[in-house]
Amino acid sequence: MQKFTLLSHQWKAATRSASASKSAGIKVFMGFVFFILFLELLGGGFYVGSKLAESSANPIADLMRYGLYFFLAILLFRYMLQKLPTFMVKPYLVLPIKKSKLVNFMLTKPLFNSLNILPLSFVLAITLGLHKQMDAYSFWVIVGTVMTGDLFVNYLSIYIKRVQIKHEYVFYLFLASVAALLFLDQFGIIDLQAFSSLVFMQVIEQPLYLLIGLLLFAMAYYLNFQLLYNHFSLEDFGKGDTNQRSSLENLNYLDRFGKIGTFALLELKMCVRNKRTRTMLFMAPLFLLYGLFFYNDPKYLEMNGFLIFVGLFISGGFMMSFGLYFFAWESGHFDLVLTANNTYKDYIKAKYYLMMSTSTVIYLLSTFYVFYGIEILIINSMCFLFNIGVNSLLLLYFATNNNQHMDLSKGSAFNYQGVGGRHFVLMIPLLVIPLFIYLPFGLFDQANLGFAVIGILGVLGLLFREKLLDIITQRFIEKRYQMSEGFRNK
Amino acid sequence: MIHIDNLSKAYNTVKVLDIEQLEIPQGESFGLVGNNGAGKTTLFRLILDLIKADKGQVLSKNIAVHADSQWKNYTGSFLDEGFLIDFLKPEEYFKFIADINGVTKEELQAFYNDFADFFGDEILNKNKYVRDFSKGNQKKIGIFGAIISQPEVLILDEPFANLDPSSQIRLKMLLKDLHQKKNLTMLISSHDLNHIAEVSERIVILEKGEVVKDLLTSDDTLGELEGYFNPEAAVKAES
Repeated sequence: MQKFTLLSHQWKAATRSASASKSAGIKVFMGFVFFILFLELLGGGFYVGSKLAESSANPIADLMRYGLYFFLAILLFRYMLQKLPTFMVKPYLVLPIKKSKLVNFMLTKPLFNSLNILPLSFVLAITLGLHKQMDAYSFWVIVGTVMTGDLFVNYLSIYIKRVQIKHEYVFYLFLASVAALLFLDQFGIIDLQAFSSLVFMQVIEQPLYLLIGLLLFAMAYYLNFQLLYNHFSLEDFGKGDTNQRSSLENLNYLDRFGKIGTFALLELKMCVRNKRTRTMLFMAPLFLLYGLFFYNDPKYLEMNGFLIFVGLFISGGFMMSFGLYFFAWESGHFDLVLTANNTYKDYIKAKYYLMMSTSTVIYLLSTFYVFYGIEILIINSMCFLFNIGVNSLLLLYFATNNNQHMDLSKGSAFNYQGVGGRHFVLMIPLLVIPLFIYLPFGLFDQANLGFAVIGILGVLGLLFREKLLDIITQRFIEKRYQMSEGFRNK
Repeated sequence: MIHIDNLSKAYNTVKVLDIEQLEIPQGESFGLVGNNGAGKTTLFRLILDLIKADKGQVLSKNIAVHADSQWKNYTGSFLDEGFLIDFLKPEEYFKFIADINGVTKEELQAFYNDFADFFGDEILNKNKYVRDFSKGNQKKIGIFGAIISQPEVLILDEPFANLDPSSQIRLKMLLKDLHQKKNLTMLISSHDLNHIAEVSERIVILEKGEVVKDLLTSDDTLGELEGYFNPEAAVKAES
């Protein structure tokens, strides 16, 4: 009975939440993306299965070699995408419901996550591709393995995520250890494949080993239970990041830049002291590594258009992911921003210079890509100029359109609170305009001229920045009511 | 000082504010009372140009607030948490406000000394971010932030709410003091009729967005206010 009441409250919470009523367009879009990905997953699985069936003498043994990678991938995937199942406990705590019941209720929620169908569907698609080589016995053992393994992984990822709320370093520790593991494996220091095949072949031979999987699941469940049971009062999961208490406090250097310096300092403090912006900051170096994915492949080195895209992303990726929400980040104190100062231009300039300096730092670090050819350096330099000259101003202009409140206290990885579908649409011109500029030059084999034009546009943007910033300030002033009203609407 | 001219604001056709004329002269301490939803905060937000009026305008020193931001140079305000920067320590918050208003370090220090009483010892040197303070202390931080720039106009929305009794009394003294010494124009809203009657020279009652009473404070203002908000009790008391 109680369980049903709790369930019905959950249903109401879901259907009546502010985000549920949000634009149907985005939901349809996301649903569509999900559907396409799902189909691709099935197709990929079937392809892997049928390829294995063709080329391998003992496909099941080969499949088993990749079991660990599979579960590791699910772990990462769940960790990144899955939201922590929460529900508002406080109102129930004072009611005569057993605490353990509430905890168990909360812990059964991950079982009903729609993501759960993905790992199994992928494996089923593989077995479909392999159906000629597989008997019913190994099929069922594989299905059993995937299900128990996934249960364990599911609760493990939730556990890590929950611990991470309180101890943020766990997030970096987790990513670092996964990276280290893959690194060691890549360079042959440890052999995950052999280990994986050892483990899973045992299971195929003796399905009773699945009980160990269940035991692991039970342990993960128990850990979660303990954690929640002991920290149920929620205060433990509150705002505590006391360790960052005095960061940036003595940064007096910026004082000499007057009001712009004051605003810039505020922005920096905001970045460092709020969880969401902080994770973003830590992720910034990743944009630098973007080139590594492509430059190693000679095929891409031929495609100038593609290189422009990569170049824009390297020095501008962080700027774009951060800058589009420049005003929304400050939604918590936006009323102060509007009432306390009367030089909006200084305020906007501070943001402009911050973008410029972060982008410059990333660009300077990225010059090591000259290793892949002087051409790369030239393209990246032109893209950098375009980023700081044109894209930075476009971002500021577009940022005035984002008027959803941003909650900064949650981590940023796959956190879409306050992020609308506009985001993706607005990113497009930033990346596409330079490509369009380049296109005619590329068609007439004037690649270098094309790069130069992109760079020159950037320089023009820098030269006329005062005028352009005036336009943005004007835009900000026009949009201020909409922004402040949106930000107040939590 | 502040002149409200034919001002009205509606949300989804529900009228939340409709004031024909209201003049707040310089140096007046102006109290605003009214039940929830009467339009007090909306009025303050319109005066501070945080929302756009559907009709009419607010003039501050004869200049429309939405057209020119002159008024920011002499207006201090604290309405709600939207005015606090929650990831700063109080000292950093005050310094930020001082910096953008051109208040020097020395002036700020002198200010700290003057208002040491108001803070008690719960705010400064606590090594805590604003977001980690209690609601009451956050309010004190916000109120102090509003007066750092030594404004000519001070706008506070329910400054007494959430404050502990000693702080309420200290705030009353602080406001009276500011008003007398600096000839400050004050606009204060409150649900506490005692406090508001004590600090204001003039009290306006809003109901459903309209001015229903405009009183100059005297000895029996409190009785009048109580009578308005609880008519039955007033009738009983008379009979």
